[in-house]
Amino acid sequence: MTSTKQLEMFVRLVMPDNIALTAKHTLLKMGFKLADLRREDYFRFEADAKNTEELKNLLAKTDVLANANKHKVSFDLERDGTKILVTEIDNTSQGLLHTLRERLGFAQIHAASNGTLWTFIGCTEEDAVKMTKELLINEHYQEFKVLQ
Amino acid sequence: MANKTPKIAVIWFPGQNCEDESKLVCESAGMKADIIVVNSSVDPKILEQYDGFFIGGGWSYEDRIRAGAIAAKDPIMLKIKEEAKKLKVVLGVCNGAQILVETGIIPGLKDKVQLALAPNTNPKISGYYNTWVYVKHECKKTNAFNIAGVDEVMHIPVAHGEGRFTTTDKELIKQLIKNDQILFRYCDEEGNIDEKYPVNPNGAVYNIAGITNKEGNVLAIMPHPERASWNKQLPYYEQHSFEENEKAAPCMKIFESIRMYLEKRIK
Repeated sequence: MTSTKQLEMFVRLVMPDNIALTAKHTLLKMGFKLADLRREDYFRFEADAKNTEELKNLLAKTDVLANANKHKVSFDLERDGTKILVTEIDNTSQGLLHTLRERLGFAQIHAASNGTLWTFIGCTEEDAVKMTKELLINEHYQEFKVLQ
Repeated sequence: MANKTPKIAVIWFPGQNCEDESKLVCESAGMKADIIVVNSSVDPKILEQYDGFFIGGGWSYEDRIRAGAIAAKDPIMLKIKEEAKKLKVVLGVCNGAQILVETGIIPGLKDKVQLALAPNTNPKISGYYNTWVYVKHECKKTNAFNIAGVDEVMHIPVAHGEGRFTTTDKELIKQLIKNDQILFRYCDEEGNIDEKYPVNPNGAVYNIAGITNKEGNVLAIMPHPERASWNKQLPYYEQHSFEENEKAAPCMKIFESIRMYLEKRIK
């Protein structure tokens, strides 16, 4: 029986990220203090454990989750700032899984989920959580967790 | 003595695209309307001279973060919140509704955000969805928007990706029903409520299409009444002669209602 492995994939723009910049400027106008704010698309997969390096390579090159012309793909969480992952409460990511398995042929992927990863630079974790609650989520359909 | 003509400020945030049709429908209903372009040089005090505000559809700030989130933090919205407390009319359509929900003005029962307009849950199409739906007017209480009779069904277009009214507060919907704040619900052509698609186009809880505040002077509505205010705007199969097409369609009643409410207030 093939064992499964969890993979995390982070997709970041290599050009200026207008969403992150707008969020940062809005937070500054709201009176918060922070040096920088970054945003990445976050994907988490459960896949067959064998050939994970090949799977990573294929996922990065699908041109569905990332576009090589404007994105940088990583499978390791950078250890800087406070990382806050925002996800939708009732989003089952079935559409994402369907696309990967049925359209792109990733039969080795059994589960997938996604969200937005925010990195706060130059502020405390407490302030990052406060900023998330005040601007980055609507608690009636989204939730967040601090990634350690 | 003749009544004064109510003045409406059509609020135009960067990225919104319904300002002209919003202005036109207000003027056609017998009100004056000015488009207020929101930018860093606009003094929110300019809004004090208006009797009502129309925040229209589009993608304010490109829906960055989520629909309505950035505009909700703009000083102009703090001013509109203040003016709404004076019982001036505020109408938020589509993106305008998203902004009103993100500010907490709707439903306005607590000084916090109590609702979300979350991404649609539609079994056929993910993301942006554009179609004609029916809504039923359900509110029995007199407010600024309801000269339409209770149970009147209106044919109206929706065009949004984040239009699903939802909340994690289990008591809120009961409270809104008790307060008669739910003005419009998605229904079929005969007015029957069906919680499933296609009658409910986005998965909104309780088929909610439009909610007022408790006082009845603020409305957040996801469908576009300004795009269904003349017969000529209705789908081709509902159109008739040239003369008939130039006449007002049922949705015009929402704007006539606003005018009548404001005329009473400012005379």
